[in-house]
Amino acid sequence: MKKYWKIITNEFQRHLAYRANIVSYSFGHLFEIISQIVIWTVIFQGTSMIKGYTYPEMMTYVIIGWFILFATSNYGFEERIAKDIHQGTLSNMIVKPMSYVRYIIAVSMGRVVIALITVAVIETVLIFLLRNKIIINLDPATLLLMLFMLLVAFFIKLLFSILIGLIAFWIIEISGTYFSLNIFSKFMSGAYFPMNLLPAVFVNISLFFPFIYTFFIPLQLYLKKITLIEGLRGLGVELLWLFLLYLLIKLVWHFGLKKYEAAGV
Amino acid sequence: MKKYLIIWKTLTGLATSSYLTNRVDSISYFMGKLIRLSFFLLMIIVIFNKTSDLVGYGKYEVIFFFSTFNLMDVLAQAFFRGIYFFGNDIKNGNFDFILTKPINALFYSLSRLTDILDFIFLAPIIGLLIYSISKINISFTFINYASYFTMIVFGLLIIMALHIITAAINIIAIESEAAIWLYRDSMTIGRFPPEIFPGLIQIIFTVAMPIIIIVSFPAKAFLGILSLRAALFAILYSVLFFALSLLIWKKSLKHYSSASS
Repeated sequence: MKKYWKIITNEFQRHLAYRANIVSYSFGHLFEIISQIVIWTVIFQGTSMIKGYTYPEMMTYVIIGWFILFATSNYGFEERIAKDIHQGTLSNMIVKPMSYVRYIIAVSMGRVVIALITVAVIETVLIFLLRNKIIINLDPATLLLMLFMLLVAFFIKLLFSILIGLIAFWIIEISGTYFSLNIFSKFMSGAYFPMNLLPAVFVNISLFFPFIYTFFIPLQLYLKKITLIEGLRGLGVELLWLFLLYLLIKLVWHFGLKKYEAAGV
Repeated sequence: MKKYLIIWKTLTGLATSSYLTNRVDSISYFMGKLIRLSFFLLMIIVIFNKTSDLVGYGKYEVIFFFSTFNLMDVLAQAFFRGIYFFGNDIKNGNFDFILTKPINALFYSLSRLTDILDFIFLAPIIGLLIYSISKINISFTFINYASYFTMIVFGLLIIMALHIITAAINIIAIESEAAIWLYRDSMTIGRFPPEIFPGLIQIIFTVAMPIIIIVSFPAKAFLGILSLRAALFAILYSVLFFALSLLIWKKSLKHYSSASS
């Protein structure tokens, strides 16, 4: 465990060198949230409710959703894993007394710290500026459950990224695959707009994928549109997906290593 | 000029071979872009299920704005994709090799990768443009089309200038790949008609970060709601902005430290 902690702290320190870049990225994403705030504000000028959402609820969905999206992101580990496989640097890792997948998880945890701090600061400012337009839910049980859901969501997204990265054992380029899967998962999670604005069939389909539990369900809990019990059920499904993804990674890693040619070493 | 056309054709040929080699990945990319386009279209349709107009624009006019945004974004990606590799070239010192080539370093850096997929992606976007135009209840004349294309050309000039400035920032600051992504993120402001934004934001995104000139001006010119004064301002602005970007590029070259080489 000590060695993984060292990897986390090393990665954190390494990323301190790129802090300006990370802060710029986070600020860049603000444009998307500005667009969404403005668009929904304009739309709600002509109506008081859209598919069960009031204006404060929609603003909360956008503002808190922005935080959830970036707090659970892992910033492109698919490419890194693919690179390790294609350039043969994976060979250095598999001879070391540690699991490659756990190493990637540790690196990811070290990497997100600065981004998380930046996003948290921006989010606090946003909440303060828009405090009259959004719903502030300070119920401890809800917040605690949300925290667990987001923590699991982070690992679900990370394991999903690792799984896509491991496809590189079989194909040369994976960037197109992860680009399209990322867009698909972002939509299915409800990050573009609330899923229930669409016909019910979209929500029903999305319940078969893990993504909706990483964004939409925690937000519904925050907005009190689902009960704590339903939230707990959501957390249960998340944990089930986490376990399934972990098993899948183990399987893919097992067969992938047999295919690995250590090219480029 | 002929030399550069041959170089561009060669680079484009190489890019095509690369995309054809990784066919599965290329198809995935294309599908991803198509899915994203569809989702945003779906969002516009959802919005118009709840409202009959958005700041005075009808559904198909908003789709036209959205299609023009995609057109400009895709054209920029298709022609200037090379700039996304520039940060790495600076970090690794590979820019040295580009500087020693008997070719304009800026031209090479901008156009070293032609995004063929984006060229192909122009097809659904143009289809969407034609569809939205056919649904807008106005009879368009040659003037509408001519002013649309003129504004697109000057919009592309600004886009090129923005890419040059991000490259210059890369040279000066070395660790600043975020500059190009800041431009990409700010482009999202152009997805919808500019009137949805408050006056101050409109001014900022017209003058300081001219996304509105790039995306909204062509669409407005086509719809016949762009004043002559605004059009002339856009033309003058884009020429001056482009000249300024070249000046910044030349200045930045003096700061090139050949790091890591």
